[in-house]
Amino acid sequence: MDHVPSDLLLMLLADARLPVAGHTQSAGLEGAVQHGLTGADVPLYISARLATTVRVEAGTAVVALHHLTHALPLEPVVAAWAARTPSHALRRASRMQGRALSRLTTRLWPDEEPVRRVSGLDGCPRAVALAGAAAAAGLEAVALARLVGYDDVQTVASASLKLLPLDPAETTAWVHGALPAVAGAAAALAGLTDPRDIPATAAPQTEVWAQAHAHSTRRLFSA
Amino acid sequence: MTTLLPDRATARSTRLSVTPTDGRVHVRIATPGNPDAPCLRPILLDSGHRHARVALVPDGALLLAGDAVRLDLEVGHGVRLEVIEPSGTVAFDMRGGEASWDVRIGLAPDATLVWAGEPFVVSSGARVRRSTSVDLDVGARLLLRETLVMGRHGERGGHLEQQWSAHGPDGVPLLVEETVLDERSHRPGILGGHRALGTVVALGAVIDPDLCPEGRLDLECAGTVWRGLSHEAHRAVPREAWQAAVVAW
Repeated sequence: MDHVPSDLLLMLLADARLPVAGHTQSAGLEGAVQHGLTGADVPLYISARLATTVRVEAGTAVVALHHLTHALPLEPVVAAWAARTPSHALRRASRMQGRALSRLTTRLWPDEEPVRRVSGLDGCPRAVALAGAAAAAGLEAVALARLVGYDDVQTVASASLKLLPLDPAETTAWVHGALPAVAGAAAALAGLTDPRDIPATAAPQTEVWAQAHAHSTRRLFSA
Repeated sequence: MTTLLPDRATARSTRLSVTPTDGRVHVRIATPGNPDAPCLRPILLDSGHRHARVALVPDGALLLAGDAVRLDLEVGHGVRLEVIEPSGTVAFDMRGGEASWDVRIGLAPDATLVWAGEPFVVSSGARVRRSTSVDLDVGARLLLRETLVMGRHGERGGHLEQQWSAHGPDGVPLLVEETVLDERSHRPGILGGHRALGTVVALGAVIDPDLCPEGRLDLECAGTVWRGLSHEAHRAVPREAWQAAVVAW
């Protein structure tokens, strides 16, 4: 295959139109709204996620990428992620997305060893599946971490339009406003290589919301 | 006023081990370090063939700037240890200083620890680093409750950084958590404006899946955490979950 610039591959992976069921995800926003979160609170919710959950996810992805590119086992990375994700609803949602992403990357990069390793992993979380795609696409760790953060912010912003009466230009402005925090988190995490160093920053209210949301029958989003 | 007391530069740690013998369990208590520094003093309330009950009583005014509380706790093979705290702890305004509170727990094969923690209140101006690290051997079980409270009544609270980790046999991570509570943790998704965060941690056993679904998080490896957020310290720990788990333990 001809060489593809990595920024094009990054655009591809960040595209919400990828067939990985991104439209079923609200990054916890639906559960939050069911518990009283208003439109005015959404930017604070985005920044709280960037300080907590996103650090766990981006750290996991970066360490998984290191393990994929250095022939190290992925199981300790998955175990570290699982120990930092106490909510079974959130682990299940992540694994469903991981499976969808893995199916896609197996089609895009069938001969790439990292993609094969990820697809052979039982219960692969989304962050690790994304690391497989990043390894196949030749993305740097910092780009992968930015992708995880950007995707989280966009997921909240686009879900907020379905849940709350908001102006799409306004929610895009929130995404734009969150980009420095995405970049800062990515820069801080890009050098991680050891599963023990993956951040474990807890978001207690998010976990409680996610668990209640998983049992809710009135919902637009799966998580 | 406690803030008039001088800062303490040195520390005293506490070691508590409960090990099996042919008869009654052997309880060893030591508090090495600077005798003028405050510590947690274990008081034996009751013991028997395979169990002991201990109260952790603060020895000296806790928790002030410069305090470094350290507790090492070992529970031997097949022994059940219950730990109670007669009162909660208030971390006071540290006027630029800070304090630490570190607990290390080692549970031998088939050991059980039930720790009924009381609220830990972080006053405005307090700055505290807290850590709990648990190692569970094969068949060991832990049941622990904890309440972190941001501020006394009418306060916003200070700054708390807490590292919590538990590992099973062969160092498998069971639960790893870093909680930062400060002005920014009032954001939605973290504390969401609540003052108290209550947690029940039950590790080493599978809990009846229908027991107390509210705030319940089932871990990847055998274990369950219950979480509660509240404006009142005494309401944060999911009471039903704690009581049901105590019976199951």
